[in-house]
Amino acid sequence: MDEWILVQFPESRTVLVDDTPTGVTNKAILVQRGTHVVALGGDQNYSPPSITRQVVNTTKANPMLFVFTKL
Amino acid sequence: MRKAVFCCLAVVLAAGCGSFPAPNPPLTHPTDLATGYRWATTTIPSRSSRTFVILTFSGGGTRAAGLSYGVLKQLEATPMPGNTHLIDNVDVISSVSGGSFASMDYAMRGKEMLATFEKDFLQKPVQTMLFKSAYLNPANLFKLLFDPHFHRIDVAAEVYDDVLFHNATFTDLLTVQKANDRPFIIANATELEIGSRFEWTQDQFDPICSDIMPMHVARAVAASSDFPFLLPPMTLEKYDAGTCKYQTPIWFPLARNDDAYANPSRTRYATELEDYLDPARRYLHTLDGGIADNIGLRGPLHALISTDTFVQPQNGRTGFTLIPLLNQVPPRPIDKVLIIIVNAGTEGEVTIDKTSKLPGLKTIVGGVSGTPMDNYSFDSIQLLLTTVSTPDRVSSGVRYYPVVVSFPLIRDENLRKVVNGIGTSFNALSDEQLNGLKQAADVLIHQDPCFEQFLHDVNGSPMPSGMNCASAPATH
Repeated sequence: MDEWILVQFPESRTVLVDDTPTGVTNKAILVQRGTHVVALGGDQNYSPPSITRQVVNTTKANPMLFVFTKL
Repeated sequence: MRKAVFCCLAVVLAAGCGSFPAPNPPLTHPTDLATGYRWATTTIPSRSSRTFVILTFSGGGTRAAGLSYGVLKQLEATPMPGNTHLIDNVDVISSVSGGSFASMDYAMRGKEMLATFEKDFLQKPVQTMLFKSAYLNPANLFKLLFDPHFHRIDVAAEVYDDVLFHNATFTDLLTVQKANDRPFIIANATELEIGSRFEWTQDQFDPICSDIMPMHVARAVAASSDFPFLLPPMTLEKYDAGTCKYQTPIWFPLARNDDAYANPSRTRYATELEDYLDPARRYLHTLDGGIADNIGLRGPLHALISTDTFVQPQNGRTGFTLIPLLNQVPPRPIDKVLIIIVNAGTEGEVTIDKTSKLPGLKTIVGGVSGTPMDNYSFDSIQLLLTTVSTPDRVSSGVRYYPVVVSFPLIRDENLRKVVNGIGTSFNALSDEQLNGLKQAADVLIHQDPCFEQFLHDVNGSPMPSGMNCASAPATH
């Protein structure tokens, strides 16, 4: 079952989903339905370090948002 | 002479009384995604092509091997941009049973195989050779009688080495893959008690802390084609997960504990991994890959749906998943996915329903085992078609071209009769049967609208009128 997430961050970064480089920030990312740990690749200059959430009932037009801020 | 026989017997009995001589060695270093025959060590994840090509080869004895070979010949004859051919662009071949002979031989020898596979395998009486090697070779017969750890499946692996693979190991397989940029091969068997697919890759061997690299590829093919009742299961040793510092992937507890109702298939995948890791499980007993998935599609389908694999990612290296590629992550963003499913399953003629007489036990067992397999194969293809044709996938910028090569789709009744009449065995194919399979591959590939749509989209070839690949909207 497909789900979509959008990871917001001021820079273009690789998005790690369950430690797998799965997409890039600020673009809709295809993931499998379920609970995922989302983090960013590269420098650890962001907060929070990771976000764990169950991703369900999304579409590409209406993805689940994961927001990281730059430190 | 009697003294020599006695000595041999003593040696064999002593070996038999000892511990189980596992055919699979332990992994002597911590699990490392930079080593071993696995997705992450091949050249495929970093290929420059934006087109991804997957082949799946089904079971079905020599019939399946012949149809798979016929498809490879068609791909060799299909030009692609950059003075290449479609066969040069194949990324992954996932195979089962008879199909694994074609996939593994192609992986080892490349296009050279296409010139000799007919005489090397398809028209060789391999089944008779198996019988002779087991029962007319005194050394093997002696071992079969007196060594409790030597079975007919071990004889089969030896015969396949003699016939086709010449003692090549997975180390050799990875070497030729890297040197020639050949496809990543997934030879599928079935773990009997867990009931799951068992892939002959290091990603699957990591949770059992075993090293696939010194093992012969012939053994993987033997495991993949280990037909129940005719051959015994293949036994592999499972080593303690601590010996290779195997680390369960980060998704595992989340999928196992939190997603049972949101996504049952994800939880089921987690329980399969849990089953492999169960400390009570000290050995694996594998049989033909057809029991778990007779068309070899489930592995690639999982890779199109999920990032979950049996290995924890390391330094950007992952198990076999296509999600990053579909999401345009460097080094290999892709925009076209061609999936050719080669299914050599046959349609039976009316036999038992001609009379009111009750069928015999053999016929009933055949029906009881074959019907669920055929239905599951059909459902696997439907699941693929459903997955790739959702509005969000269609509008994602990646186009999917699912192509089905399957006998019921042949329109010529005579040709259908020839290929459906080829039994499931490793007997030599007659000229008529071999030509029928090659012709079937030709017809089925080119009558598929998604194959023609793919050629149209990559080569600008004219799209035959009346054809419509529903999951790949025309762009030219």
